[in-house]
Amino acid sequence: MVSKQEHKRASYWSSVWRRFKSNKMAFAGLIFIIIITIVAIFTPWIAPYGYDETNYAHTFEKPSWQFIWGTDDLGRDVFSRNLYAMRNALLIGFGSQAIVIVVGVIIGAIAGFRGGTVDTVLMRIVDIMYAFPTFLFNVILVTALGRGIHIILLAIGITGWAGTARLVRGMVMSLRNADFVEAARALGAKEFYIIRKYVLPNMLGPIIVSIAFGIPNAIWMESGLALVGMGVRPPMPSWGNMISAGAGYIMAFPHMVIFPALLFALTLLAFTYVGDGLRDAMSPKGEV
Amino acid sequence: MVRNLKKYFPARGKWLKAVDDVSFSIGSGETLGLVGESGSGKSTLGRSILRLIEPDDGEVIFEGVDLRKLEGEELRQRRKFMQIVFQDPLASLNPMMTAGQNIEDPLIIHNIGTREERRKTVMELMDIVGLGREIIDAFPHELSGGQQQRVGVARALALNPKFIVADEPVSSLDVSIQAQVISLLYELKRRFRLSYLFISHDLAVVKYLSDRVAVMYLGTIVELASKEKLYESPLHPYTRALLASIPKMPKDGKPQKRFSALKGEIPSPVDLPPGCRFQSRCEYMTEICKEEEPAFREVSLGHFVACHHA
Amino acid sequence: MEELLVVNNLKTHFHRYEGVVKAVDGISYQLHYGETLTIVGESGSGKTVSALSLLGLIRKNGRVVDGEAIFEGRDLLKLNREELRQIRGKDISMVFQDPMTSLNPIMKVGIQIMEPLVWHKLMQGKEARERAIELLRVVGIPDYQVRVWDYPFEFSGGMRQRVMIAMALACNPKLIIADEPTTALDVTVRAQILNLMQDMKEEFGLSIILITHDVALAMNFSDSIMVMYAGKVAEYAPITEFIKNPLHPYSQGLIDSTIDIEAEEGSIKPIPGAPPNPLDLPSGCKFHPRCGYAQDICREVEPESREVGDNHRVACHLAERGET
Repeated sequence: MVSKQEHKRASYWSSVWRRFKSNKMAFAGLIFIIIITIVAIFTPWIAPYGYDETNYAHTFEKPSWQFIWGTDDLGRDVFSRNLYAMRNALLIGFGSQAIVIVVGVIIGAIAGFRGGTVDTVLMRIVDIMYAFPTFLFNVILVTALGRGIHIILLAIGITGWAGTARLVRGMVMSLRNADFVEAARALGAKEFYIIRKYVLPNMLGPIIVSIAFGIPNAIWMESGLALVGMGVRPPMPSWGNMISAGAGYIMAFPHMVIFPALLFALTLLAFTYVGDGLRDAMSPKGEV
Repeated sequence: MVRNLKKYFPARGKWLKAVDDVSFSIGSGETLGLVGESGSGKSTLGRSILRLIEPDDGEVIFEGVDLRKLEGEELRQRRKFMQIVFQDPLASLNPMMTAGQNIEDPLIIHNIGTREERRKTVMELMDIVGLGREIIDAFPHELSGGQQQRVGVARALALNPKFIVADEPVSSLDVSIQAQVISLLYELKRRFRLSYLFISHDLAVVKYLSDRVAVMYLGTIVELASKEKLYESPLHPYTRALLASIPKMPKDGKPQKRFSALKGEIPSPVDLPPGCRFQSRCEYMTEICKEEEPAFREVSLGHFVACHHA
Repeated sequence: MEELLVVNNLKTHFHRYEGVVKAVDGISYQLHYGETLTIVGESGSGKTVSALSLLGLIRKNGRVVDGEAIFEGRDLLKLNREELRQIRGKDISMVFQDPMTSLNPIMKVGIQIMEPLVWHKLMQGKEARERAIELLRVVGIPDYQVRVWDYPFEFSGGMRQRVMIAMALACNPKLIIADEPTTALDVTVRAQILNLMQDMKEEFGLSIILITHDVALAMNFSDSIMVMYAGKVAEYAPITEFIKNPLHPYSQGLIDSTIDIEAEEGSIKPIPGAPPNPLDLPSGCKFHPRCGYAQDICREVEPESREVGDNHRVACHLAERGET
């Protein structure tokens, strides 16, 4: 029997949250992400200098009070550039994943719900997308369409939805036959209603985890593109292009590489911990 | 007034005849018990009647209308009159909605009443099935099995159905709770003049709730009779074996250490040999049983059997 | 008859986020050689946990916190892992509920039966093989010589359960613990398996602890019966005594609410309420909220298990006084 007053509402999400909180690394990761997101939003007001504010009198300077993290080869403030790079990284991360979700969920849901030929056709398309070397595809797209941030996040989104589609399709197919979905059908619910109220809410968990891992992947992808010269177009900074530009100077002026690399690594780590934490918090653990 | 459910329903699927040519009827306010073991097709039959599984052939006539001929909106409207209660109560409720929301959903789906009216109806339903009102905001996984099943029943009642398919509604519940839910179903049946198709493998429970009982084996009904006749003078060897193999409460103080057991196992429903389906396990089997499938005949008033030797 | 197993005050507790679950909270019983004891209870009664505790099969966040279980002179609860391992499968075997998942799907059936023999160094190679084949014959598998090399998925549910029983019998154990062995099986097959167990018991002189929630089965199959509720023993008696005179209100409730085939229409009396939440147990007698006889003392004081007749023990204030 459910005990009455003292019993706190134990909805699925509140118990997920409780478990997530108890995972210290995941919680720390989440705090980190929240902080950098806030910073990223307010970067234009926080950053001491512009990202392309050159200063030829102060090139290659080590960290000082004036330039907290030093300057690069064109005298630009490394700290400010890092802030902008972080902003771009988050933009690319969140943006590309938004595309991934929209496309992936729609295609996966249609395939899962309709079944039959529709499903087969859609899944073959997914297979093809999966088989494509994503990186190469991204390079091609960026070459063809240009190196703007929005292009890049679009490209990453377009090349990356296959996994989510498969995931969603699998979930929809298994939920389709679940008793409670059948019950909804028996009650006379229309198909769209069933998807909206019965299927989708029960799929959110794995989708969220997939996003949590997709974001660092996207950021990573951009840095890979930057390495081959296909990343965000300078002077707009991204961690990828900052690291690859600064790589040549690493022995003499390590500050140009270390700071972006550090931030890059921490951000990826944070997202990964959050993703892991979410996944653990959502899988039913054998509690007795 | 409910007329009859009549069904004729051969060959489902190319190679697995889950429900093979089944016909029966249920009158208004009547409970038909459907007994069978795994592979009998009883669950499939229950779901097919409601078109949760699409039958391949046959008719399902509900109050003069063949359900199989309806589509889309018409079918949806008809659904109000026939509901189902599932075996696994937790799985039959939407885990993301509270108990109250689960019960309310049928009303929302069919756009019935205002928000206040719906809430009131939900409370009434909860009272009817014996749920405390305080759990209206509880989520299914917080409730006990018995409570979950009551929510399922309340939800099924929300649209004022005339016919309910109860698919093993108590099999996954504790013994003392089973009795509660069975009592509840019994009371609801009397109070609302409901017709039930009560599906179970438990003969004792079926006897308690039903007026007539049908026994299924490998996709067909092998015997159908009023409950008194079936339990007192069963004609089909399978029915007899079923009744004999259940442990009974020892009334005269003598526990039974051995139980009458039917030999063999239920054969796979795929690729059945010709003749009677029960031949591999029947002690009365003769040549004709291997050749000809016995017809489902009325042997005495209201008592049907499919056996050459009945 | 001598005592094969004596359990005293066994307590097994689990530590969950929300609190301590006292799954088994002080149960005691004796099992004689050649006796079948049936432990009856509903979910949450602790019946399965009590059996698993004997063999050290409790999962990580649970522990046996008190009590003793003397099996042939040794306390099972004090043995270390290696010593327990030597007893499992050899002196005490288990048969589980779901034959679908209890057998290793990628291992041939014959090999699985041979495993306990080999592990306990009783037999090797050819001898073990022959024993496995013989065991399959004994448990009634047709074409046993051929089927010994089949995989579990090639068997039906009833057959798989027979294989499990063969595995349990392999090393000639003295005690078999069967946890709901027939619940997952079809009705007609259940009778077969129960008869098989009875045959094996008589032929090999086994003791059986049968765990079930099926009251009608328990009333027949047992030599002695133990009714558990909320981790404690409600009643314990030889079966004939129990049939004549069930004393604990819960036992009576179980019997009254069992839908027997002979039951008259409208005659079942369900026990009101539901089994208690293990994290929020009632005070005093754990059954009092559902008990028709409950009085003040039942709300305040937890009844001890007392002997009220010929080896008949009840934990109920009123039963002792003869008021139930």
